[in-house]
Amino acid sequence: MSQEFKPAEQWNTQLGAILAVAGSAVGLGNFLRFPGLVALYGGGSFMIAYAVSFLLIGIPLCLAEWTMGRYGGSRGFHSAAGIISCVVRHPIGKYIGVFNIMVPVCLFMYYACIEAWTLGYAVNAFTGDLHFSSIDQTRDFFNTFVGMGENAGAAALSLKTAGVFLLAVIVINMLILWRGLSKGIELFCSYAMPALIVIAIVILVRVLTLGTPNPALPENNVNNGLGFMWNPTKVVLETRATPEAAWRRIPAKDGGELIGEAAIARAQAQAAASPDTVRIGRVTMWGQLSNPQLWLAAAGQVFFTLSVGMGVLSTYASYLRRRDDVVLGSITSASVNEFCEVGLGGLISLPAGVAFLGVASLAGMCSTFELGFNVLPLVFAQLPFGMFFAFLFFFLLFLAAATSSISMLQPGLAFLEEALNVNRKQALAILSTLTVLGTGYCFFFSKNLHAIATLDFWAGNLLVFVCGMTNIIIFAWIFPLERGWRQMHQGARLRLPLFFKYILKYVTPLFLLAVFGYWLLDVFGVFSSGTGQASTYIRELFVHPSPVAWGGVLIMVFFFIFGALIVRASPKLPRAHRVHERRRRARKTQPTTNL
Amino acid sequence: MTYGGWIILSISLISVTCFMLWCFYRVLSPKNTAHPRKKEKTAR
Repeated sequence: MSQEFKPAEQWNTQLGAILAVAGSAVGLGNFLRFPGLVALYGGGSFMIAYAVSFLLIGIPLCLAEWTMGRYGGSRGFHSAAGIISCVVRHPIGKYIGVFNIMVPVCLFMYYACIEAWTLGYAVNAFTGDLHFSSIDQTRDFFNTFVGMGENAGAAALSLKTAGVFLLAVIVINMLILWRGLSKGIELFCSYAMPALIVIAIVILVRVLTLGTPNPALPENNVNNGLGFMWNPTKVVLETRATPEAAWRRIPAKDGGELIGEAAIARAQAQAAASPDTVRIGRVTMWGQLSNPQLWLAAAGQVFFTLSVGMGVLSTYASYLRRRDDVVLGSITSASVNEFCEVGLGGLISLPAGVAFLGVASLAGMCSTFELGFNVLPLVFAQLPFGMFFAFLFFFLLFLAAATSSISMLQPGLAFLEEALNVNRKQALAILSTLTVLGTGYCFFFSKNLHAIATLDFWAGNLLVFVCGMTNIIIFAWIFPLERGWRQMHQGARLRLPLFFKYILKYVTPLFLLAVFGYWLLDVFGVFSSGTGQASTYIRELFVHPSPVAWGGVLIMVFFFIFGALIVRASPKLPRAHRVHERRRRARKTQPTTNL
Repeated sequence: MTYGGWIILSISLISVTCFMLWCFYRVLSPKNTAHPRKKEKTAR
């Protein structure tokens, strides 16, 4: 009897698997969240913290999840419940695995809404309806489109609201998943990923050749836009009311960040005219690196951009063949994500924004939604052939979001197939019914995007971090590491240096625990801008209870209990932790019977 | 943009691009070329 299970589904090629994992990782965060963070934390300094976090958190977590996934897959398990159960060889493993299934499903619920916005904006750009002349117009359009003003405000059957596009997005996702792993996900990502990179390069070339679009405002140019993002030392304007008072930094949105020689010369003249109340300050790279918030932001970005801690990587890796290279595969998919994030995402949004709006106008609008759906439509509207480039950009975002959202449902599908012993299509019918209810919650409670923000905080921040930490601890300490190291290098063309063992065992868990601890202190108000108040998300549960906030939490609790009950009732999963021992015994007895 | 900004941007861009290209080169190259020692052993 063969020692390896022949799974019903497998990736056609390793390249297909790599592109699917890269597709899962490349999302809106690469093109919208990353540039905002780099600009906020001073370019070069952020990149140092980002590179360190990538090496110490990103790569080790990818390796751990890929290895555990292939290990579980080679034993016939594709869901996180089965995989973790196999790895820890204890019944509690399957309940830990349920978390890894629940998180991506909950993420899908609100991610589908945002994906619908990107599709809607692409269609509206195609029909030429994104022509705006002021930021107020773009904000009005966005608020109406997503139903920001009132609950269920986007439910109208119109191209100017998100409802129709949400239906389209759900249908597209379900159709891709319906076609299966290799004919659906792999095929889609094999075309979508190269298309995404080509479109991004076309937009990048257009942005970098913008120069100074308005000669009347020579400081609004691409060079200053790049400086806003990448300059390692920030030059800032400081002021004080009286010569005895302390110096206070003027916020960037009020013109306090000086980019370009002209702005600095003007500020120098101002400081020379009133030296007691105005001065120019410099925030050095080392000064910025001493800020723990920067490390938290960098580690968080690496964590979220690579899709680790969601159970997606281990599920995808479980469909690899036993001899496929997990070391090279995981590193390659991470490298594609980094290229899209640093090489493409880092050069498109903010330079274009500064070239048209200037540093001061853009500085207060660097959040993901503000940058993507308010600033950029205005930028494209002022560009020659702007609607064409707006269509390309939002279609690019849609592709990035679609390759990510389909990956969020695959762990749930694998779980239902495995636990309930149903086929893929039956599993998809159950999962789509449940997720549509959750997506409906996010779509219905659209006022101030409350439901989306709630799920993003609890599932997209807290639970992802907890799952990531649990996974690395399981891999390094329970698997244990020696077995994991052997499994990782099975069929590997690349051998990792031995010191990586210590990184996996000590550095990554400790780094993650430190970041998580700091995040918790921040959430409970220890560091939060001196107010001493806990985060809004905590307060709206316990201090001023909000039905929408409780609704989000109850949805997650429901999914966990639902998953745990299925695991308990499943005929296959409870035995997952025993499979390894049984197979080991079978291997031991085989030579004897042969003799 | 300052010289520091250009340096960091160039290093970041070159490193991520070369890293990705190198990874794909290794993925797409035939399996035996990656392990000269292993190839030697197989030949023996």
